Amino acid sequence: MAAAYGVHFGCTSACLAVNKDEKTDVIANDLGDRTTPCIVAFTDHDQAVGIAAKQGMIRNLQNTVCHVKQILGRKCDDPVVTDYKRKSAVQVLDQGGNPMYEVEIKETRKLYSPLQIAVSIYKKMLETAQSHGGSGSQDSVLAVPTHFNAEQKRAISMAANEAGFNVLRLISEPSAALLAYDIGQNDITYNRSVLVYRMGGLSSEVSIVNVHNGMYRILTDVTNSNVGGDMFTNELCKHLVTEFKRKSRCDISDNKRAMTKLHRQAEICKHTMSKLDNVHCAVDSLYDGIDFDAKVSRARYESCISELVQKCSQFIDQVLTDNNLTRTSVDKVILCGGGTNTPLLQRTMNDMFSHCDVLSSINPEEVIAVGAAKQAGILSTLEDEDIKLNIQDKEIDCISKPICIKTKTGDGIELSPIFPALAPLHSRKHLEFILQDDQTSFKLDICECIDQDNIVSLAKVIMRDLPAGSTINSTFHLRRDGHLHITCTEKSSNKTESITVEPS
Amino acid sequence: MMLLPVPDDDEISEISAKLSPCSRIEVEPVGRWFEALCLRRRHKHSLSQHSLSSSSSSESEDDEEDIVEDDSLLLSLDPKEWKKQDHYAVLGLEKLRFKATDAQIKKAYKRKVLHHHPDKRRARGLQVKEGEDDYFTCITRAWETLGNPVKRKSYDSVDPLFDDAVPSNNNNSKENFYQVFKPVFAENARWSNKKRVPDIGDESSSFEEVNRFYGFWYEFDSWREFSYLDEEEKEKGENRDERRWIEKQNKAARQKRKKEEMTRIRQLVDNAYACDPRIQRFKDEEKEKKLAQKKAKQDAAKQRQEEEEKRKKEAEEEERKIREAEEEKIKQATAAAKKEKEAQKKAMKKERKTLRTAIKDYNFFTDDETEKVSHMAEMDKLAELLELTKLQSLNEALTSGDKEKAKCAFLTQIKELNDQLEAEKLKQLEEMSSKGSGEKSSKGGKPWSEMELQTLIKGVNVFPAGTKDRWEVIANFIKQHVSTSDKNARDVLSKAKDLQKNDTSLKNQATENAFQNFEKEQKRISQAKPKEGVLSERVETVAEQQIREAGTNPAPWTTDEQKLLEQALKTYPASTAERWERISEAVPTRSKKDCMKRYKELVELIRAKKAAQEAAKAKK
Repeated sequence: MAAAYGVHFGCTSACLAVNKDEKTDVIANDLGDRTTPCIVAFTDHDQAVGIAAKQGMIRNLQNTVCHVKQILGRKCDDPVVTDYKRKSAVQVLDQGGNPMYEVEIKETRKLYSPLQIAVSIYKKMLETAQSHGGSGSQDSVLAVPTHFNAEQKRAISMAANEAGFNVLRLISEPSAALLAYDIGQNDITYNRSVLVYRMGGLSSEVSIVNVHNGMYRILTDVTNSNVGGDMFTNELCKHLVTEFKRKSRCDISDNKRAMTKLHRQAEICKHTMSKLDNVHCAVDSLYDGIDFDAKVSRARYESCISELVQKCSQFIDQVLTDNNLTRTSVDKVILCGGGTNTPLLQRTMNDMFSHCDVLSSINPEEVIAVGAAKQAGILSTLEDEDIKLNIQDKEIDCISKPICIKTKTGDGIELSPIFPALAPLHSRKHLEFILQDDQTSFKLDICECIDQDNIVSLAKVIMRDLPAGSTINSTFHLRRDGHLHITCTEKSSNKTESITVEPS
Repeated sequence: MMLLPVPDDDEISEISAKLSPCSRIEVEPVGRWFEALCLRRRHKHSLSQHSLSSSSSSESEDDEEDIVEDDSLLLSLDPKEWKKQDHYAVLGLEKLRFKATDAQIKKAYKRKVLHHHPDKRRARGLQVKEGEDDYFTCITRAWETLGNPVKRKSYDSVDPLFDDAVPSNNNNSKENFYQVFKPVFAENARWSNKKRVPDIGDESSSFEEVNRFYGFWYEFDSWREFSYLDEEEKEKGENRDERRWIEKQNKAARQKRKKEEMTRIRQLVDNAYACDPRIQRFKDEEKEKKLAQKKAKQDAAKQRQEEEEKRKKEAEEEERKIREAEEEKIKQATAAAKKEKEAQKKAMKKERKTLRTAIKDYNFFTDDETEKVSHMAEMDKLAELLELTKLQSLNEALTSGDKEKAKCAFLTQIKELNDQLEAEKLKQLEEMSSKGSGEKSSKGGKPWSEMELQTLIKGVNVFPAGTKDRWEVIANFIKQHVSTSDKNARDVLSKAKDLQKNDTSLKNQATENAFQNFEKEQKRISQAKPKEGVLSERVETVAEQQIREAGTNPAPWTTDEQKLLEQALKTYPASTAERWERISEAVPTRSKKDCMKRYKELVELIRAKKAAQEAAKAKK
């Protein structure tokens, strides 16, 4: 089986996973990192992508493009772009309504569109993919945020195509996360809601996905751009600044260069802090030739970010209440994005959703790419025609209420589900019943039910004079036109009874 | 295990309610269940809720209808000719053929085995042939072929139902391109090693799509191979050499067939390309585009040219107008000038006449005949040379009636005129002398002393032209007479030429020098014996000398001489007696003969010039 790839192209970092021989793995890039920073830098000599660009960032801030995903596929009049322009160290120009980066490369000023930047990042990813699975174009699935509009989706798939990926499909990030954990894939009767909490570098996002019959339906998706992983770094950085001030009586908060240096070190500290309790933070010659050296304990760090984490939990609760849900209506929580590696955040989530699993066994930074790769694996086995996705394909007709039959148990009547709620039309189910030794007749009572108290009987199938202890084959066929067709057959006597229930 | 309740006695099968309405929801296009649903929707199957655990077994229900039970075919088979049998048909999969999955083949085989196994048939009481002769062997062979991926591939490659035909390149395929070629390409696409064979598209396909399609097919990578058609099996060889030989034979045959297959595909694509209306359209479009571009270019050039011409024309028109206006102006001016000139001439004539009559009336202010004659000459001169205004004023004075006053005016006028002429003459001479001295100063390589000059002239005279080493001899001559001289032959030659060229200036110089000498001498003499006779010295130039000797000066006329001649001609009008003598006097370096000759030459020249001008005018 050919390898298929899943690409997650985030604001701050990108991750590539491969699905081959029914196994899914993240591919490390040429430096051995499993994620690649989405940073493109232009220098006097060449163009650097990834960690190389990040390392040169301190000295080359005005020629280093970050967070390109934010403005990819957006127009200049978009408030997001306006905001981005203000924050970005790189000059962003308006050219015919489209934002363009103006950077200096090889000592000349050049214009780059966000698309070109995205293409160069994708090219880097393709290199990684090719180092793993050989040259040629690679079948891939891209994961994009749920809130992406058609234009943004078009831009991102164009970028991937141009870089050399064969884009099979775009899927949304939360559903990719669900797919990574195979939720609902092996157990079709699983019918619950899953909360996906993503914390990226710049924003956090809460999505609630309803799973039924192996299908995912996104109930809500809210992005909060006030809380992100970078803010944790900022908090830590603030703490370090006061620490430095205390030690050397120098205020460096106005010194851009020193702040960038410190910020970078703080980021490294933060990452280490996820695993260790005490971290040594040292910057040589931070300001005015003074070295900075401080020990940060996890407790200290957590006190710095406690307010932010508080905000996160408030945000989740807010989203839940806005959708008339409670914490208990969530069956699983999936954490994704680098920010969710924070131990305090994980603890908080565990406390909040103590009744259910908080899934973080797959590295949160990679989970979306893994899900996308799984989807790519599914698609790569299909024929060309079947991969193409029509608009109406995403809309499916289904029954609104579950359909059950009444079965007898030792002490009375029990409801057994035939079709769960929201089962897509055009389904079948076969059941076999065995009559008891002394039983020569049976009654199949079919009903619609929401819960035990709310049962509407639809039809009854009754067969008599059957050989005792015989086996009854029954077929439930939910037709495309909405009819429910039930057939019961007793094989040895070849007796058949069938009935059709019409939709209203 | 589910148990069903026992119905009450009076209950019957019935429908008591309708299903609640369906709802339509939008789901994420993710996961295998979504794909399965999509597939089923497209292929009109239903999703089986029964077999959810594995997707492959869920297809089993649908497969049933594809499997054909036909014992007659099996019974008609000859087990020895198994290689020629249709394995798919044997297993009952002739509908699916190469599309059948491995699972389907396996299942079909098992079914057949269950049904047709000799033991089973014997149990049913049917007749069974012994060993290899029974048709069951065919089933086994079919399974052996189709159950093995490599063998299945080689069998698929020579699928007897596959149509190798290539639509020919004719009008029919051109007109019904899509109907003709689409199924053929769809059929042949099965041989592709690469997945995702591009579709032939339709009339609205873009250039890129069509290009991709043909690009794919021109580089078609086929897995089709012809090992199934091998004449002899390698395994049948008795020894290694034989087996090797067989393999070689087979390989050659396979390669040949493969080559044929390649040419077939190639032919197919070539034909399609030739018939494709889109290709023709793209070509036409390209052509049109090029033509349009060319035309646009030409148009632009033409327009530019036209504009230029227009501009040029306008400029010409304007120029012409200006020129015409100017010409008109000039014409008017010339006419006016002519008129004026004529008027002036007339006035002049009139004034002259009045002058003459007036002077005649006064009887030339004299009674003496000779004076009368001179006055007459003077009057003529006046009449010819005086300006109009002066003539008028003179006439006024003359006609005033007062004879004395008139005479006085007449005489003063004559005097004035003469003075003027004299002044002019002097001026010219001065000019020439200054010029000569200038020339001399500019040219003088070595200063020539008075003595040396004189000796030079003497020498020139002593040794006439033709003397051997004339200038050397003259130089020696000078050296002999002037001991201080340092002149050599070349200096002498240049000086002599110099002298010849502007002898007047030299003459002036000589006279001046002579005068200075004279003064000096006089001083000396006045110191010694004042009032002694003046020592005069006649200094002649070479030209003068020549004139004196030969009567003519053969040297060409210099501009100064010319000026002098003209002046003299003006001074002495044609009526003057002995005019030429006087003129030649005015031109000191020329004889009378020279002057006359020169005059004649000049007249000739002017006449020729006039004739030429007239001829040019006539031509115009």
